[in-house]
Amino acid sequence: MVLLEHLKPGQRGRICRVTGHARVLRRLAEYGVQPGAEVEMIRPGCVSIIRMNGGRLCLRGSNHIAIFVVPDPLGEEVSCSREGAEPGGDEQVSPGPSRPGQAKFPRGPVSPPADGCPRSTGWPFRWRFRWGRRQ
Amino acid sequence: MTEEQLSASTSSSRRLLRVALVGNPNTGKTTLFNALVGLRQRVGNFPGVTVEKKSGQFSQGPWTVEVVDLPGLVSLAVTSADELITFEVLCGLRADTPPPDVVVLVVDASHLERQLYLVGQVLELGLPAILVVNMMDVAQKEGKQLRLDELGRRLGIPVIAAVAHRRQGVAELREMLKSLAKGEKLPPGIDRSVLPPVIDNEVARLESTLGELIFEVFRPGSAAAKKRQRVSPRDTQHIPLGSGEVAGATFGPGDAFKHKEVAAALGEVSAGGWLDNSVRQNFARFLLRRCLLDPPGGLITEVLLPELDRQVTAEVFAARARLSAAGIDLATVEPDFRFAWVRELIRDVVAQAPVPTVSWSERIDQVLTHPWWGVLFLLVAMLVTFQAVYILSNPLVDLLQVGLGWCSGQLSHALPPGIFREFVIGGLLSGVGTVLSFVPPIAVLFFFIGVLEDCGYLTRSAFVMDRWLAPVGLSGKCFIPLLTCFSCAVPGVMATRVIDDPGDRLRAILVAPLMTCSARLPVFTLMSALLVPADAALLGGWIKLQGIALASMYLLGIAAAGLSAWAFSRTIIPGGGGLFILELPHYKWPDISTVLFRVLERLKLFLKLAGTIILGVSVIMWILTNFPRNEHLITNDAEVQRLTQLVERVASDSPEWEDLVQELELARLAAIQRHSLLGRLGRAIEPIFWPAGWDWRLGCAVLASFPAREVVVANLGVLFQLADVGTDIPEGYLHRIRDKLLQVRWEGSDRRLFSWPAALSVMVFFSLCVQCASTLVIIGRETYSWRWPVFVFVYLTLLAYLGAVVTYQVASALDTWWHYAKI
Repeated sequence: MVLLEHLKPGQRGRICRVTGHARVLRRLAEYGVQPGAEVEMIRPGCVSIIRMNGGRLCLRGSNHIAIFVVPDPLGEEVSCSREGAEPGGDEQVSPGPSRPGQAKFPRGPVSPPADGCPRSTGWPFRWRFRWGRRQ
Repeated sequence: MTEEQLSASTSSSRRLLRVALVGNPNTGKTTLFNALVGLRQRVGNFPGVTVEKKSGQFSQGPWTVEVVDLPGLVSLAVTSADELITFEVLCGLRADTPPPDVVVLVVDASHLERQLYLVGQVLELGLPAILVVNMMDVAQKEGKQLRLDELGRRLGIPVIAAVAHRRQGVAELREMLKSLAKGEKLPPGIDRSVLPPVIDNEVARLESTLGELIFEVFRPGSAAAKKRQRVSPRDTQHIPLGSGEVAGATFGPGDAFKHKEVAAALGEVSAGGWLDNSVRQNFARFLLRRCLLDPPGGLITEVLLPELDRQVTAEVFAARARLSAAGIDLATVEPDFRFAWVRELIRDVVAQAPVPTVSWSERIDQVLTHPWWGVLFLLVAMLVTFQAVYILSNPLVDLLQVGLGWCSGQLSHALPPGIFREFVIGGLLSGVGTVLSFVPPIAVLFFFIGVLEDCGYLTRSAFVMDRWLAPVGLSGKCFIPLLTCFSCAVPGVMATRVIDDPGDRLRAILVAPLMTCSARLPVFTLMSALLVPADAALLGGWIKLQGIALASMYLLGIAAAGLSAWAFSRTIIPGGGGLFILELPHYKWPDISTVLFRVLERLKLFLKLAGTIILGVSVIMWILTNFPRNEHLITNDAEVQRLTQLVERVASDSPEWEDLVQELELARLAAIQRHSLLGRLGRAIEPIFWPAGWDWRLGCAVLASFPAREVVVANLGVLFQLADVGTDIPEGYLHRIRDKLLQVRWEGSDRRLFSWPAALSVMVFFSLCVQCASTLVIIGRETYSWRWPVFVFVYLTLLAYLGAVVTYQVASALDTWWHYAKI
């Protein structure tokens, strides 16, 4: 399971977990970014372009969102149960009604920003610029 | 209104069919709208909010179809002001726009799966609906096979395949609407209960507990409806009447129309007043369901619910708590279930070719969204656009000035000399001229932006710019509004409505006035002409120094905007770097009529908003600089006295006489100003201007430009007596002003006023200051508060003043140092 922005260009995967504030989760889900959806990375980077549902989305996760993807190793069908999406399962995928001060997931970068993208707004002092990779 | 007129109006409105166009952004809704109604459209605002309302009509014989183009939205879980309007119109909650009789849902064929989400939501309203599947050509090129008849059968509504920009499918839709207007009925849609039964049960329970309370909002004259009806419908022509029998059902038999009170009530009837019970019940159920499913921070909870009865709010919150307790996650239950329904719906309907072809759009995007090439292309596109603005609009502006010069010449001959003539020429005509001179640049700019938008490039530019804007606390969606601000901040601030994150939107609004709008150009051109000689150039004449001065002012504005946005995101409006999500539409050839309609809309808006204000300011300025006229003080003015004596001494046939008379006239004008209200104020507070290197006249010109900076060059002209009333204005106008300004000295000394540090400080001041009443007004309207415009005014004025002072002091120090270094 990796973060969506760590997919390589052309690599496919299946979203299995989306975490963040409920409001953002709803917006993402309305665009189809929800557990179980298949994605293909087109242009990774701070703002990535992904293909899903036959359309292309450009997407910048913020400090408060993390989209976890099970990458497709060799085009095999990866089973990622949608049961995980149901509330009450082992894996709390979408946090329930948010209560201020009780963030289920830590604020700030969820994992170290290995790609060097500006995940915090510490510009210009901590800002490192990074161009999207080419295949 | 007489009885006959009334009956005529009702009988004609009985044949009126109201149609609403609903769909995602970038689905070609507006193109379809233009194709349907052509020129018979009008663009205005929804009263009370600055959301554009586009409506138009087409008719055949006695039947009229009125089409309203609603703002695009992704989902009915609304989070922005635009989307809320669409929701309100659909539910019949807006007093100014009656709910539609028919909904035309527009979807993009190549993004069918995602966009059917909205279709499912809207169908729950229970209104007759038609689905238009647009951009069929793109889907076919992608190798998609769509069985639309099957889709229509499953949905229970008619489906039309269309390519709106080639006018395909438009005739079919128009025929269908016409037959509906004639009274034909659409088959009732099939039951589409897609959400878990728990939610439907809750809705039913709410309905029974609240009973009549929820209907209050739909009832004319009720407290809730009055609250919503902040602006009463102005034009009585817009009497909301649905299709024939509905109107009859509400208002009873025809004899009711005999009473004048009913006629008056018709004019004031609130939205929904004509709904019959079953429709009203559907609407109420729909409203309750949307209240339950509203996302955190959604506008239905934040805006609509507080306007309803307190009991409604309490019950809705209780129902939500019960659902949460039952294990329903209200934040995600709707997308989960609805997308499952959509997937079931399009199974076997959409067939993808085994090997999907890489579309042209994707090939183009490999370059245009590339981190390097994309930025490069964006820069080139902007450069071309702005160059075109100057190249194409300058001749038009010159022509306009010639026309105005001719007009003032004619007027000065026609009108008797005196205060009235001075007012008409100096106050009124110059005001009109300032307003009109902005029309060509705005038209050209919006033409180019319209072309880029319609072919789908602006979405890519938002993507390319996001990585530059995100670090300072803005997002890619702020790019287009901020770009628009380079022509004028008023449409720019209005364009921020597309930004869904409220924090991003507010920050974008706050820094929008820092973008160098076209109104600053005249003063920049003039001051840079004072700063460096016109022919100074680098690299063998390729790069003009004046151009560099101009460009650096643009850069200064951008840098200040970036820094302020960053500072805001760290202090008063924390946040930034929020979610940024956009769907990339396919590229297509721009539809020229869509673009031209857009240009027209913008121009109308500008003329309405800025036109009145600039005109008003010019008149007020003229009054402030001309009154009170104390003849005693004027004749006793030292310069006037000296010249009067000179004129008296010189024979009237000598060659100098003409010049002397003219000089005397100018000196008189100067004296009038010195003793006018503005002059007195300026001299009283002159010490404030000293650190920035300005004298009272320059300070006055700056002060007087606060309502609208467009007038500053004209103000300078008035204050330094440069105005040549009624003669060749365009020919070398700037050049002559420059020569005259260079000779201006500080009063009572021979120190030059427009030294280069002073000119630079004026430029810096103008590049940072918000001297535009229209911008402040529009900020107030967009933020629904007077605090933000006041804040913007204070912070930008302070910033500009400090900037000007620092610039002048540093530049003067450099100047002195340079002077001594040469010796």
